[in-house]
Amino acid sequence: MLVLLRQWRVLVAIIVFLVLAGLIYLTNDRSAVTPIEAFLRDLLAPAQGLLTRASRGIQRTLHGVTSWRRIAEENARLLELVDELRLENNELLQYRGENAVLREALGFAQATSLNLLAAEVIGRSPSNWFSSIVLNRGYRDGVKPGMPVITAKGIVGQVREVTSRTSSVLLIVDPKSAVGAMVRRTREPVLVEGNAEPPGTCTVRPLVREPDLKRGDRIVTSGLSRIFPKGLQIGYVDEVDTGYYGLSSTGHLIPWVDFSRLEYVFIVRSSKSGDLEEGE
Amino acid sequence: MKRFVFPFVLLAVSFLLAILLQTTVFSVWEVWGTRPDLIGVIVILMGVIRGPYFGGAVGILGGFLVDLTVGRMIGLNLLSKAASGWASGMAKERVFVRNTFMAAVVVFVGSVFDQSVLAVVAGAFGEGLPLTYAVIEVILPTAAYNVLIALAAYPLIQWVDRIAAQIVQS
Repeated sequence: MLVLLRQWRVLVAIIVFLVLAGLIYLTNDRSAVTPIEAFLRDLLAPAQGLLTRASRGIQRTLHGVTSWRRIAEENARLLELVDELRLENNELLQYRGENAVLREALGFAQATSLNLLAAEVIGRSPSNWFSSIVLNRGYRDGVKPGMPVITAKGIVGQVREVTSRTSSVLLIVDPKSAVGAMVRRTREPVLVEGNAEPPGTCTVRPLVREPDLKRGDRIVTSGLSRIFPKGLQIGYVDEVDTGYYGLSSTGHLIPWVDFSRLEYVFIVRSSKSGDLEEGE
Repeated sequence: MKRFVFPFVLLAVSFLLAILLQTTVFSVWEVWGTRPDLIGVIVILMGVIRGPYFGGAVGILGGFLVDLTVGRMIGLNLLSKAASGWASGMAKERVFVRNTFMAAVVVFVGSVFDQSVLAVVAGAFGEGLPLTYAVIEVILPTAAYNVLIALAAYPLIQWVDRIAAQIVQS
């Protein structure tokens, strides 16, 4: 057998390469995983969660030990800040009371909160090539491919593959990601695409003929993509590139979410209008 | 049968442990934003110790497990790891790898080859990164980090390989 393989090694190598190329092509851009993949991922999930938590714990402890002086200074500064905030908080409580009365008086509907599911980040993409994270929630928690993932700061990405205990999320900064959005100031529709370079940023592509995009513009979801509910924060425009002869205009977006420090996120199970539909 | 199956069962368990460490501990402890490729290091070092055919087979097993557990496309890591395992085995047949330092050099070259194959194939299927960025920010840092891992892992893998050989022969 081995002798035969050695004699025909070039032909064998070509056949193997072609079969693999076909396999890669067929499995690229899929939302479902095979049972064996699901089994292996679910098998690793508990240990992944444990190891990630342990690593973060050690990292925090070491960080605390090495930066005790800074922490002491920071503590003094924070104590001062607490006093200031206490005063401010009293003021805000007063405003809240007034606001509730005014809302009722004006008949404003209370903003309906989204149906959120908290999830912990238990793993990240193993390679330096793709931007994705693994969450400790899966089918048994009601997670489906296509569901949006957010934090209090803004949107994170979209659920891509789901097993019974885990789900992997394609981050909005991945070059394969595109989110329908709008400029908060002008309400102009834009497309937010992930950037390969520099990592952790996005490109804002206006969808109108004469766009009015400025540095500092805040970008929010438009709700037109059927994936992300309308009005969720994405980031702000850091730089505007007007292109050759000023004919085109694209923006460089810095997301509000710090993707390198994600620990807990929320999966949006349904929005105001009901259950979210699966990916486009 | 035991002679054939035992090494691969041992390797499969090692790969699963390496995948666990890579997606958790090493993703928290990134060095300048880079993670090492533990599976790549094991595959290349097995090629260095056992030659091209064993290196290729180990690459197929390791790459396939990465694709199944955390991969995006099935076959991508399988192809790159099989190629790097086979290539490092070929290096062993042409260069006498007599110490850890030389093994680390093979790991650096093998890692550059592995990551380049991955970049080219991923690029062919629309998942690539710009060339300069890929080389400077991904391929070279990953290869350098792999070298650091290899300096510690090579003696360990040699030891495990010897023990496994004794068990198979007994």
